[in-house]
Amino acid sequence: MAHQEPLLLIDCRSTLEDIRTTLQIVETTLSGPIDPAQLADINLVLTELMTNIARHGYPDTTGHISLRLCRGPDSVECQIVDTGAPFDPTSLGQNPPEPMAFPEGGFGWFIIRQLARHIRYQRDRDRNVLRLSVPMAQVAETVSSV
Amino acid sequence: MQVKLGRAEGALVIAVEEERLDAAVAIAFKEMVREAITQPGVPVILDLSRVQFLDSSGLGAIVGVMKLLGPDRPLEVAALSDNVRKLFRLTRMDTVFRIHDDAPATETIGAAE
Repeated sequence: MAHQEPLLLIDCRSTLEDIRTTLQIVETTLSGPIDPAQLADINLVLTELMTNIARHGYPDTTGHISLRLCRGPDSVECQIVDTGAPFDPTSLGQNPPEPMAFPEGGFGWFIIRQLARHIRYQRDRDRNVLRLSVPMAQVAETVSSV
Repeated sequence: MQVKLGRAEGALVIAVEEERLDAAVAIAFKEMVREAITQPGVPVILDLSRVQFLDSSGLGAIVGVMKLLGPDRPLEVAALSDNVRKLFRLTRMDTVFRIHDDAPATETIGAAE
C-alpha cells in the first residue's frame, strides 16, 4: 500500500440531518488540500453511501457511521464503517436506471460506481467496512475527452 | 428550505434558495414545489443557480415534481452548476430535461419556506 496521509476522521449519527452536517464539515475541511472537482466527487460518493446506510442499514433505529479519509498519491482513500444490516455491494448499481422511465430512485450505487474505484466490502463481526478510492476527477475527464 | 417564485413571460420560475439539495431536504423540497405549482405558468422552470450540490435523492425529487406536473406542463431546469450538471450527465437525466444555461429574468411573485 502506498503512503497515505490522514485527512479526516469523523463519526456521525445515521440521521439525514447529521449526515448533511458531516458532509458540510468534510467539504470545509478538505477544500484547502483537495482539488474542487475531486472534492465534489468525494462529497457525492459519501452522501450516497451514508444515505443508503441510514435508509437500509439502520431502517428502524439511529446508529453510527465512521468515516476515515486519507490522501494517496493521486486519489483520496475512504473507509466507511457502520454496525447496521449487512449488505453486498457487488450486485448494486451495475446498470443505471432508464431515464425515460422517469426514475425517482435507484441511482445511488450506480453513481458511486461511476466516481469511485477499488470498492472493497467486508463484514467484520457486526460491522460493515467499505473501502473505496476516489481518483482525481479533472485528470480522468481530460484524458477521456482527448 | 426556501424557494422564490417568479414569472418570466408565460413561465412559472421556481428558484431553489438552498446550497445542498440532498436527502435531508428532498421531501421538504418536493412539498414546497407541490404548493408552488398551484400558481399558473407553462413551462415550469426550476432555477438551480444557488444549488452547488445535488444528490440522487434531490434528483429523484425533481423527477417526482416532473411527474406531478404531467405531460402538458413540462418541467425545465436552469443555471446548473458544474457539479449539478455532472450528476444530470452521469445519470443521463440530461436527456429527459430541457436545460437552460441561464436563469430567466423574472418578476417576483412570492416566496415560501
